[in-house]
Amino acid sequence: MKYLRLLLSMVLLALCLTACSKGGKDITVDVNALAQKLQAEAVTSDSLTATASEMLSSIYFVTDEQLAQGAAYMSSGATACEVVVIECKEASQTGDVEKLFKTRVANQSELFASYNAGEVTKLDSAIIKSAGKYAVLCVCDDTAKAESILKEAGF
Amino acid sequence: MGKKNKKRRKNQQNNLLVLKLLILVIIVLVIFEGRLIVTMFTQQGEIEVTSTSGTTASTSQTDETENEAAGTASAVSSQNTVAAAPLAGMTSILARQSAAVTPETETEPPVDTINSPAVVPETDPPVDDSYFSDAVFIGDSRMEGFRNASGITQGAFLTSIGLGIDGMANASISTSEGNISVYQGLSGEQYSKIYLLLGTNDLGYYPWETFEPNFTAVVEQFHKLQPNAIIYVCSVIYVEEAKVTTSYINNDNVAKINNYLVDICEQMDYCYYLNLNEILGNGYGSLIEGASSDGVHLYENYCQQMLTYMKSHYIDAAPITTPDTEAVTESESMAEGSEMTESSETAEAS
Repeated sequence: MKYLRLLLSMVLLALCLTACSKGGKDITVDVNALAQKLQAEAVTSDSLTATASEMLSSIYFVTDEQLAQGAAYMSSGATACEVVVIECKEASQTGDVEKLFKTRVANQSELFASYNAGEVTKLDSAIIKSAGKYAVLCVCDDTAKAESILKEAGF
Repeated sequence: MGKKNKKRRKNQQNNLLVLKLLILVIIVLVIFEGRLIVTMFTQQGEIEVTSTSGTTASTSQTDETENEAAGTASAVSSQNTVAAAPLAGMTSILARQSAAVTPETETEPPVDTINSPAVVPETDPPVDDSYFSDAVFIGDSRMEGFRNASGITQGAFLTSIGLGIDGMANASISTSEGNISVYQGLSGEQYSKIYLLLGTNDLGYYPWETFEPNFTAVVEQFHKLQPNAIIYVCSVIYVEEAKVTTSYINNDNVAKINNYLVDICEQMDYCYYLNLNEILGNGYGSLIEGASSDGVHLYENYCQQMLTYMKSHYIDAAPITTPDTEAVTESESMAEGSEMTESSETAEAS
Protein backbone atom coordinates (compact mmCIF):
# COMPACT_ATOMS: atom_id res chain seq x y z
CA MET A 1 0.00 0.00 0.00
CA LYS A 2 2.85 2.31 0.95
CA TYR A 3 4.60 1.61 -2.33
CA LEU A 4 1.37 2.12 -4.23
CA ARG A 5 0.86 5.59 -2.66
CA LEU A 6 4.43 6.52 -3.44
CA LEU A 7 4.05 5.36 -7.02
CA LEU A 8 0.76 7.26 -7.43
CA SER A 9 2.22 10.50 -6.05
CA MET A 10 5.23 10.15 -8.35
CA VAL A 11 2.98 9.65 -11.36
CA LEU A 12 0.88 12.70 -10.36
CA LEU A 13 4.02 14.80 -9.94
CA ALA A 14 5.28 13.73 -13.34
CA LEU A 15 1.92 14.55 -14.91
CA CYS A 16 1.90 18.00 -13.28
CA LEU A 17 5.38 18.75 -14.53
CA THR A 18 4.68 17.72 -18.11
CA ALA A 19 1.42 19.70 -18.14
CA CYS A 20 3.16 22.94 -17.15
CA SER A 21 3.23 24.18 -20.70
CA LYS A 22 2.71 22.78 -24.13
CA GLY A 23 6.07 24.07 -25.20
CA GLY A 24 7.58 22.43 -22.16
CA LYS A 25 9.34 25.65 -21.12
CA ASP A 26 8.45 28.47 -18.82
CA ILE A 27 10.03 31.47 -20.46
CA THR A 28 9.50 35.20 -20.54
CA VAL A 29 9.89 37.00 -23.84
CA ASP A 30 9.75 40.66 -24.83
CA VAL A 31 7.50 40.14 -27.85
CA ASN A 32 8.33 43.49 -29.44
CA ALA A 33 12.06 43.05 -29.06
CA LEU A 34 12.02 39.49 -30.39
CA ALA A 35 9.89 40.40 -33.43
CA GLN A 36 12.09 43.39 -34.11
CA LYS A 37 15.28 41.32 -33.87
CA LEU A 38 13.93 38.61 -36.15
CA GLN A 39 12.86 41.04 -38.87
CA ALA A 40 16.03 43.09 -38.63
CA GLU A 41 18.43 40.17 -38.80
CA ALA A 42 16.65 37.39 -40.69
CA VAL A 43 14.81 39.39 -43.37
CA THR A 44 17.13 40.76 -46.00
CA SER A 45 14.99 41.04 -49.13
CA ASP A 46 12.40 43.47 -47.80
CA SER A 47 11.93 46.27 -45.30
CA LEU A 48 9.21 45.13 -42.97
CA THR A 49 7.20 47.59 -40.93
CA ALA A 50 5.54 47.26 -37.56
CA THR A 51 1.83 46.55 -37.91
CA ALA A 52 -0.63 47.97 -35.41
CA SER A 53 -1.38 45.31 -32.80
CA GLU A 54 -5.10 46.03 -33.27
CA MET A 55 -4.82 44.46 -36.72
CA LEU A 56 -3.43 41.12 -35.51
CA SER A 57 -6.83 39.55 -35.01
CA SER A 58 -7.92 40.39 -38.56
CA ILE A 59 -4.70 39.08 -40.07
CA TYR A 60 -4.10 35.95 -38.01
CA PHE A 61 -7.58 35.45 -36.52
CA VAL A 62 -6.23 35.24 -33.01
CA THR A 63 -9.15 35.86 -30.66
CA ASP A 64 -9.27 38.26 -27.74
CA GLU A 65 -9.51 35.23 -25.47
CA GLN A 66 -6.20 33.97 -26.80
CA LEU A 67 -4.23 37.17 -27.23
CA ALA A 68 -2.38 38.71 -24.30
CA GLN A 69 -0.11 40.78 -26.52
CA GLY A 70 1.59 40.55 -29.87
CA ALA A 71 3.98 42.21 -32.25
CA ALA A 72 4.11 41.85 -36.02
CA TYR A 73 6.34 43.12 -38.77
CA MET A 74 4.89 42.80 -42.24
CA SER A 75 5.75 43.43 -45.85
CA SER A 76 4.48 46.21 -48.06
CA GLY A 77 3.07 43.43 -50.23
CA ALA A 78 6.18 43.00 -52.31
CA THR A 79 7.36 39.82 -50.57
CA ALA A 80 5.94 37.05 -48.39
CA CYS A 81 8.23 37.95 -45.47
CA GLU A 82 6.56 38.48 -42.13
CA VAL A 83 7.34 38.05 -38.46
CA VAL A 84 4.82 37.76 -35.67
CA VAL A 85 5.27 36.95 -32.00
CA ILE A 86 2.14 36.28 -29.97
CA GLU A 87 1.88 35.94 -26.23
CA CYS A 88 -1.16 33.86 -25.37
CA LYS A 89 -3.14 34.21 -22.20
CA GLU A 90 -2.61 30.53 -21.44
CA ALA A 91 0.25 28.28 -22.49
CA SER A 92 -2.28 25.69 -23.60
CA GLN A 93 -3.50 28.09 -26.33
CA THR A 94 -0.24 28.15 -28.27
CA GLY A 95 -1.18 24.97 -30.12
CA ASP A 96 -4.27 26.64 -31.56
CA VAL A 97 -2.27 29.73 -32.51
CA GLU A 98 0.29 27.52 -34.26
CA LYS A 99 -2.56 26.01 -36.27
CA LEU A 100 -3.68 29.52 -37.27
CA PHE A 101 -0.13 30.29 -38.39
CA LYS A 102 -0.04 27.09 -40.46
CA THR A 103 -3.31 28.06 -42.12
CA ARG A 104 -1.92 31.52 -42.82
CA VAL A 105 1.22 30.07 -44.44
CA ALA A 106 -0.82 27.65 -46.55
CA ASN A 107 -3.09 30.45 -47.78
CA GLN A 108 -0.19 32.76 -48.55
CA SER A 109 1.59 29.96 -50.44
CA GLU A 110 -1.47 29.41 -52.59
CA LEU A 111 -1.82 33.12 -53.37
CA PHE A 112 1.87 33.75 -54.00
CA ALA A 113 2.13 30.70 -56.27
CA SER A 114 0.20 32.56 -58.97
CA TYR A 115 1.37 36.04 -58.04
CA ASN A 116 5.06 35.83 -57.23
CA ALA A 117 6.15 32.19 -57.24
CA GLY A 118 9.65 32.98 -56.02
CA GLU A 119 8.26 33.80 -52.61
CA VAL A 120 6.75 30.36 -52.13
CA THR A 121 10.15 28.90 -51.17
CA LYS A 122 10.28 31.31 -48.22
CA LEU A 123 6.81 30.18 -47.16
CA ASP A 124 7.86 26.55 -47.52
CA SER A 125 10.61 27.22 -44.98
CA ALA A 126 8.40 29.24 -42.63
CA ILE A 127 9.33 28.81 -38.99
CA ILE A 128 6.44 28.15 -36.63
CA LYS A 129 7.42 27.54 -33.02
CA SER A 130 6.06 27.90 -29.55
CA ALA A 131 7.46 27.94 -26.05
CA GLY A 132 5.68 28.69 -22.83
CA LYS A 133 2.89 31.15 -23.62
CA TYR A 134 4.52 32.33 -26.83
CA ALA A 135 4.04 31.41 -30.45
CA VAL A 136 6.15 32.66 -33.34
CA LEU A 137 5.74 32.75 -37.10
CA CYS A 138 8.74 33.83 -39.11
CA VAL A 139 8.81 33.91 -42.92
CA CYS A 140 12.26 35.19 -43.78
CA ASP A 141 15.33 34.89 -45.96
CA ASP A 142 17.86 33.66 -43.39
CA THR A 143 16.15 30.80 -41.56
CA ALA A 144 19.39 29.71 -39.85
CA LYS A 145 19.72 33.15 -38.31
CA ALA A 146 16.08 33.12 -37.25
CA GLU A 147 16.46 29.68 -35.67
CA SER A 148 19.51 30.87 -33.76
CA ILE A 149 17.68 33.98 -32.48
CA LEU A 150 14.75 31.85 -31.39
CA LYS A 151 16.99 29.31 -29.68
CA GLU A 152 18.65 32.13 -27.80
CA ALA A 153 15.21 33.40 -26.75
CA GLY A 154 14.31 29.99 -25.34
CA PHE A 155 12.34 28.40 -28.19
CA MET B 1 51.89 93.21 -90.12
CA GLY B 2 52.88 89.66 -89.34
CA LYS B 3 52.03 90.24 -85.70
CA LYS B 4 48.55 91.53 -86.69
CA ASN B 5 47.90 88.48 -88.84
CA LYS B 6 49.03 86.23 -86.04
CA LYS B 7 46.68 88.00 -83.59
CA ARG B 8 43.76 87.79 -86.06
CA ARG B 9 44.44 84.12 -86.64
CA LYS B 10 44.57 83.56 -82.90
CA ASN B 11 41.25 85.39 -82.46
CA GLN B 12 39.70 83.31 -85.23
CA GLN B 13 40.98 80.15 -83.56
CA ASN B 14 39.51 81.27 -80.24
CA ASN B 15 36.16 82.04 -81.88
CA LEU B 16 36.23 78.66 -83.55
CA LEU B 17 36.95 77.00 -80.23
CA VAL B 18 34.03 78.82 -78.55
CA LEU B 19 31.79 77.85 -81.46
CA LYS B 20 32.88 74.23 -81.20
CA LEU B 21 32.18 74.26 -77.46
CA LEU B 22 28.74 75.75 -78.05
CA ILE B 23 27.97 73.06 -80.65
CA LEU B 24 29.16 70.40 -78.20
CA VAL B 25 26.88 71.78 -75.46
CA ILE B 26 23.94 71.83 -77.86
CA ILE B 27 24.64 68.26 -78.95
CA VAL B 28 24.82 67.11 -75.32
CA LEU B 29 21.57 68.94 -74.57
CA VAL B 30 19.84 67.43 -77.58
CA ILE B 31 21.04 63.94 -76.72
CA PHE B 32 20.26 63.97 -73.03
CA GLU B 33 17.42 66.45 -72.78
CA GLY B 34 15.96 66.05 -76.25
CA ARG B 35 12.70 64.57 -75.06
CA LEU B 36 12.29 67.33 -72.52
CA ILE B 37 12.97 70.02 -75.11
CA VAL B 38 10.49 68.47 -77.56
CA THR B 39 7.90 68.20 -74.79
CA MET B 40 8.50 71.78 -73.72
CA PHE B 41 7.87 73.00 -77.25
CA THR B 42 4.78 70.85 -77.78
CA GLN B 43 3.37 71.85 -74.38
CA GLN B 44 4.00 75.50 -75.17
CA GLY B 45 2.09 75.20 -78.42
CA GLU B 46 -0.86 73.49 -76.82
CA ILE B 47 -1.02 75.92 -73.92
CA GLU B 48 -1.06 78.83 -76.34
CA VAL B 49 -3.89 77.25 -78.32
CA THR B 50 -5.86 76.59 -75.15
CA SER B 51 -5.40 80.02 -73.70
CA THR B 52 -6.29 81.87 -76.88
CA SER B 53 -9.41 79.83 -77.52
CA GLY B 54 -10.47 80.14 -73.89
CA THR B 55 -11.79 76.61 -73.74
CA THR B 56 -13.09 75.02 -70.58
CA ALA B 57 -11.76 71.81 -69.09
CA SER B 58 -14.56 69.80 -70.61
CA THR B 59 -14.07 71.03 -74.15
CA SER B 60 -10.38 70.48 -73.72
CA GLN B 61 -11.09 66.88 -72.87
CA THR B 62 -12.62 66.38 -76.30
CA ASP B 63 -9.58 67.92 -77.90
CA GLU B 64 -7.38 65.67 -75.81
CA THR B 65 -9.12 62.57 -77.05
CA GLU B 66 -8.33 63.67 -80.57
CA ASN B 67 -4.77 64.48 -79.60
CA GLU B 68 -4.24 61.06 -78.09
CA ALA B 69 -3.79 59.53 -81.50
CA ALA B 70 -0.87 61.83 -82.11
CA GLY B 71 0.59 60.74 -78.81
CA THR B 72 0.53 64.19 -77.25
CA ALA B 73 -0.66 65.13 -73.84
CA SER B 74 -1.86 68.26 -72.15
CA ALA B 75 -4.14 69.28 -69.36
CA VAL B 76 -6.09 72.26 -68.16
CA SER B 77 -6.89 73.03 -64.56
CA SER B 78 -10.10 74.59 -63.42
CA GLN B 79 -8.28 77.46 -61.78
CA ASN B 80 -6.79 78.99 -64.92
CA THR B 81 -3.55 77.31 -64.08
CA VAL B 82 -1.20 75.95 -66.65
CA ALA B 83 -1.40 72.27 -67.22
CA ALA B 84 1.81 70.39 -67.51
CA ALA B 85 2.07 66.72 -68.34
CA PRO B 86 5.47 66.28 -69.84
CA LEU B 87 5.35 62.55 -70.38
CA ALA B 88 4.44 62.03 -74.00
CA GLY B 89 1.91 59.32 -74.76
CA MET B 90 -0.15 59.76 -71.60
CA THR B 91 -3.76 58.87 -72.09
CA SER B 92 -6.96 60.78 -71.60
CA ILE B 93 -6.95 60.74 -67.81
CA LEU B 94 -4.55 63.64 -68.12
CA ALA B 95 -7.35 65.64 -69.64
CA ARG B 96 -9.01 65.42 -66.24
CA GLN B 97 -5.82 65.69 -64.33
CA SER B 98 -4.01 68.91 -64.11
CA ALA B 99 -0.57 69.45 -62.80
CA ALA B 100 -1.48 72.74 -61.24
CA VAL B 101 1.50 75.01 -61.61
CA THR B 102 0.81 78.66 -61.16
CA PRO B 103 3.48 81.16 -62.16
CA GLU B 104 4.05 81.91 -58.47
CA THR B 105 4.56 78.26 -57.52
CA GLU B 106 6.59 77.04 -60.45
CA THR B 107 9.31 75.72 -58.18
CA GLU B 108 6.87 73.56 -56.17
CA PRO B 109 6.12 70.08 -57.45
CA PRO B 110 2.86 69.95 -59.41
CA VAL B 111 -0.14 68.07 -58.06
CA ASP B 112 -2.20 65.45 -59.88
CA THR B 113 -5.71 66.81 -59.52
CA ILE B 114 -8.84 65.64 -61.31
CA ASN B 115 -11.76 67.81 -62.24
CA SER B 116 -14.81 65.71 -61.56
CA PRO B 117 -17.78 66.00 -59.20
CA ALA B 118 -17.15 62.40 -58.16
CA VAL B 119 -13.79 63.23 -56.61
CA VAL B 120 -13.87 63.43 -52.81
CA PRO B 121 -12.71 66.90 -51.78
CA GLU B 122 -10.65 67.72 -48.74
CA THR B 123 -12.98 67.98 -45.76
CA ASP B 124 -12.40 69.77 -42.51
CA PRO B 125 -11.91 68.67 -39.79
CA PRO B 126 -10.06 65.44 -40.46
CA VAL B 127 -11.56 62.35 -38.86
CA ASP B 128 -9.75 59.92 -36.58
CA ASP B 129 -9.49 56.13 -36.78
CA SER B 130 -12.94 55.68 -35.26
CA TYR B 131 -14.37 56.78 -38.63
CA PHE B 132 -13.20 53.44 -40.01
CA SER B 133 -14.82 51.33 -37.28
CA ASP B 134 -17.78 50.63 -39.58
CA ALA B 135 -15.71 50.45 -42.76
CA VAL B 136 -14.54 47.54 -44.81
CA PHE B 137 -11.43 47.75 -46.97
CA ILE B 138 -11.36 45.58 -50.07
CA GLY B 139 -8.30 45.24 -52.20
CA ASP B 140 -5.16 43.57 -53.43
CA SER B 141 -1.62 43.45 -52.09
CA ARG B 142 -1.45 47.24 -52.14
CA MET B 143 -4.39 47.38 -49.75
CA GLU B 144 -2.69 44.70 -47.63
CA GLY B 145 0.40 46.87 -47.54
CA PHE B 146 -1.78 49.77 -46.43
CA ARG B 147 -3.26 47.65 -43.63
CA ASN B 148 0.20 46.47 -42.57
CA ALA B 149 2.11 49.72 -42.67
CA SER B 150 -0.23 52.71 -42.40
CA GLY B 151 -0.82 52.35 -38.68
CA ILE B 152 -4.58 52.05 -39.15
CA THR B 153 -6.18 50.48 -36.08
CA GLN B 154 -9.80 50.00 -37.09
CA GLY B 155 -11.85 48.57 -39.92
CA ALA B 156 -12.38 45.17 -41.50
CA PHE B 157 -10.16 44.02 -44.33
CA LEU B 158 -11.12 41.74 -47.20
CA THR B 159 -7.86 41.61 -49.03
CA SER B 160 -5.92 39.11 -51.02
CA ILE B 161 -2.63 39.07 -52.89
CA GLY B 162 -3.30 39.34 -56.62
CA LEU B 163 -6.98 40.20 -56.25
CA GLY B 164 -8.56 41.57 -59.41
CA ILE B 165 -12.11 42.37 -60.40
CA ASP B 166 -12.67 38.93 -61.88
CA GLY B 167 -11.72 37.32 -58.60
CA MET B 168 -14.53 38.60 -56.38
CA ALA B 169 -16.39 35.29 -56.45
CA ASN B 170 -13.24 33.23 -55.81
CA ALA B 171 -12.55 31.98 -52.30
CA SER B 172 -9.35 33.97 -51.84
CA ILE B 173 -10.02 35.86 -48.62
CA SER B 174 -8.64 34.18 -45.52
CA THR B 175 -10.78 33.83 -42.43
CA SER B 176 -10.50 31.74 -39.30
CA GLU B 177 -13.08 29.37 -40.81
CA GLY B 178 -11.28 29.00 -44.12
CA ASN B 179 -11.20 30.95 -47.33
CA ILE B 180 -14.21 32.88 -48.57
CA SER B 181 -15.01 35.18 -51.48
CA VAL B 182 -15.31 38.95 -51.18
CA TYR B 183 -19.04 38.60 -51.76
CA GLN B 184 -19.31 36.17 -48.86
CA GLY B 185 -17.27 38.54 -46.74
CA LEU B 186 -19.79 41.29 -47.41
CA SER B 187 -22.80 39.11 -46.72
CA GLY B 188 -22.84 39.25 -42.94
CA GLU B 189 -22.09 42.42 -41.00
CA GLN B 190 -23.39 45.66 -42.46
CA TYR B 191 -20.88 48.44 -43.00
CA SER B 192 -21.32 52.16 -43.63
CA LYS B 193 -18.27 52.61 -45.82
CA ILE B 194 -16.52 50.44 -48.35
CA TYR B 195 -13.04 51.36 -49.53
CA LEU B 196 -11.93 49.73 -52.78
CA LEU B 197 -8.31 49.65 -53.84
CA LEU B 198 -8.43 47.44 -56.90
CA GLY B 199 -7.28 47.60 -60.46
CA THR B 200 -3.52 47.11 -60.29
CA ASN B 201 -3.97 43.44 -61.18
CA ASP B 202 -6.35 44.45 -63.94
CA LEU B 203 -3.92 46.74 -65.74
CA GLY B 204 -3.72 45.55 -69.29
CA TYR B 205 -7.25 44.17 -68.97
CA TYR B 206 -8.29 42.49 -72.15
CA PRO B 207 -10.37 43.61 -73.92
CA TRP B 208 -10.36 47.05 -72.25
CA GLU B 209 -13.97 47.75 -73.22
CA THR B 210 -15.17 45.07 -70.82
CA PHE B 211 -13.41 46.55 -67.81
CA GLU B 212 -15.94 49.27 -67.12
CA PRO B 213 -19.08 47.05 -67.28
CA ASN B 214 -17.37 44.36 -65.21
CA PHE B 215 -16.17 46.77 -62.55
CA THR B 216 -19.63 48.36 -62.51
CA ALA B 217 -21.20 44.94 -62.02
CA VAL B 218 -18.87 44.26 -59.08
CA VAL B 219 -19.71 47.59 -57.45
CA GLU B 220 -23.42 46.95 -57.97
CA GLN B 221 -23.05 43.60 -56.23
CA PHE B 222 -21.33 45.30 -53.32
CA HIS B 223 -24.17 47.81 -53.16
CA LYS B 224 -26.75 45.04 -53.09
CA LEU B 225 -24.94 43.34 -50.23
CA GLN B 226 -24.26 46.59 -48.38
CA PRO B 227 -27.06 48.96 -49.43
CA ASN B 228 -26.34 51.48 -46.68
CA ALA B 229 -22.66 51.86 -47.43
CA ILE B 230 -21.05 54.59 -49.44
CA ILE B 231 -18.32 53.28 -51.66
CA TYR B 232 -14.97 55.02 -51.88
CA VAL B 233 -13.23 53.92 -55.05
CA CYS B 234 -9.53 54.62 -54.61
CA SER B 235 -7.54 55.53 -57.67
CA VAL B 236 -5.09 52.95 -58.87
CA ILE B 237 -1.84 54.33 -57.53
CA TYR B 238 0.81 55.17 -60.08
CA VAL B 239 3.85 52.94 -60.38
CA GLU B 240 7.55 53.65 -60.71
CA GLU B 241 8.05 52.12 -64.13
CA ALA B 242 11.83 51.79 -63.88
CA LYS B 243 11.39 49.26 -61.06
CA VAL B 244 8.45 47.32 -62.47
CA THR B 245 9.18 44.10 -64.30
CA THR B 246 5.69 43.38 -65.66
CA SER B 247 5.22 45.17 -68.97
CA TYR B 248 1.49 45.90 -68.67
CA ILE B 249 1.94 47.50 -65.24
CA ASN B 250 2.71 50.95 -66.53
CA ASN B 251 1.43 54.47 -65.95
CA ASP B 252 -0.36 54.69 -69.29
CA ASN B 253 -2.53 51.78 -68.19
CA VAL B 254 -2.93 53.27 -64.71
CA ALA B 255 -4.17 56.48 -66.30
CA LYS B 256 -6.53 54.56 -68.54
CA ILE B 257 -8.02 52.48 -65.73
CA ASN B 258 -8.41 55.53 -63.49
CA ASN B 259 -10.33 57.24 -66.26
CA TYR B 260 -12.77 54.32 -66.20
CA LEU B 261 -13.01 54.49 -62.41
CA VAL B 262 -13.85 58.19 -62.47
CA ASP B 263 -16.52 57.50 -65.12
CA ILE B 264 -18.04 54.77 -62.95
CA CYS B 265 -18.09 57.03 -59.88
CA GLU B 266 -19.75 59.79 -61.89
CA GLN B 267 -22.50 57.39 -62.93
CA MET B 268 -23.22 55.85 -59.51
CA ASP B 269 -24.50 58.15 -56.81
CA TYR B 270 -23.14 56.01 -53.97
CA CYS B 271 -19.61 55.88 -55.37
CA TYR B 272 -16.93 58.45 -54.70
CA TYR B 273 -13.47 58.68 -56.18
CA LEU B 274 -10.51 59.02 -53.82
CA ASN B 275 -7.67 60.45 -55.83
CA LEU B 276 -4.69 59.01 -53.96
CA ASN B 277 -2.39 60.10 -56.76
CA GLU B 278 -2.91 63.64 -55.56
CA ILE B 279 -0.38 62.84 -52.84
CA LEU B 280 1.39 59.78 -54.25
CA GLY B 281 1.89 61.01 -57.81
CA ASN B 282 4.91 63.09 -58.74
CA GLY B 283 2.78 65.49 -60.77
CA TYR B 284 3.97 64.00 -64.04
CA GLY B 285 1.85 60.86 -64.13
CA SER B 286 4.15 58.62 -62.12
CA LEU B 287 4.63 57.39 -58.57
CA ILE B 288 6.91 59.53 -56.42
CA GLU B 289 10.43 58.29 -56.97
CA GLY B 290 11.63 56.12 -54.09
CA ALA B 291 8.16 55.50 -52.67
CA SER B 292 8.36 51.79 -53.30
CA SER B 293 10.90 48.98 -53.32
CA ASP B 294 9.47 47.27 -56.39
CA GLY B 295 7.73 50.21 -58.03
CA VAL B 296 4.29 49.05 -56.90
CA HIS B 297 4.09 48.39 -53.15
CA LEU B 298 4.47 51.46 -50.98
CA TYR B 299 6.86 52.04 -48.15
CA GLU B 300 5.53 52.73 -44.66
CA ASN B 301 5.80 56.51 -44.90
CA TYR B 302 3.60 56.61 -48.02
CA CYS B 303 1.04 54.23 -46.51
CA GLN B 304 0.83 56.61 -43.57
CA GLN B 305 0.30 59.49 -45.99
CA MET B 306 -2.51 57.49 -47.60
CA LEU B 307 -4.21 57.11 -44.22
CA THR B 308 -3.84 60.82 -43.49
CA TYR B 309 -5.36 61.57 -46.90
CA MET B 310 -8.30 59.24 -46.24
CA LYS B 311 -8.90 60.95 -42.91
CA SER B 312 -9.10 64.37 -44.54
CA HIS B 313 -11.04 63.25 -47.63
CA TYR B 314 -14.42 61.85 -46.73
CA ILE B 315 -18.06 62.41 -47.48
CA ASP B 316 -19.62 64.36 -44.69
CA ALA B 317 -23.14 63.02 -45.12
CA ALA B 318 -25.62 60.76 -43.42
CA PRO B 319 -25.42 57.08 -44.39
CA ILE B 320 -27.32 56.11 -47.51
CA THR B 321 -30.82 54.86 -46.76
CA THR B 322 -32.61 53.32 -49.66
CA PRO B 323 -35.83 51.77 -48.30
CA ASP B 324 -36.53 49.95 -51.55
CA THR B 325 -33.14 48.24 -51.44
CA GLU B 326 -32.57 45.32 -49.13
CA ALA B 327 -29.36 43.43 -48.72
CA VAL B 328 -29.44 40.39 -50.98
CA THR B 329 -28.58 36.98 -49.69
CA GLU B 330 -25.13 35.51 -50.11
CA SER B 331 -26.35 32.86 -52.58
CA GLU B 332 -28.09 35.49 -54.73
CA SER B 333 -24.91 37.49 -54.77
CA MET B 334 -22.79 34.48 -55.62
CA ALA B 335 -25.11 33.53 -58.47
CA GLU B 336 -24.97 37.04 -59.90
CA GLY B 337 -21.22 37.18 -59.32
CA SER B 338 -20.62 34.01 -61.24
CA GLU B 339 -22.83 35.30 -64.07
CA MET B 340 -20.61 38.35 -64.25
CA THR B 341 -17.48 36.23 -64.31
CA GLU B 342 -18.90 34.03 -67.03
CA SER B 343 -19.81 37.02 -69.17
CA SER B 344 -16.31 38.38 -68.62
CA GLU B 345 -14.76 35.10 -69.67
CA THR B 346 -16.94 35.03 -72.76
CA ALA B 347 -15.87 38.54 -73.60
CA GLU B 348 -12.22 37.65 -73.13
CA ALA B 349 -12.59 34.54 -75.23
CA SER B 350 -14.15 36.60 -77.99
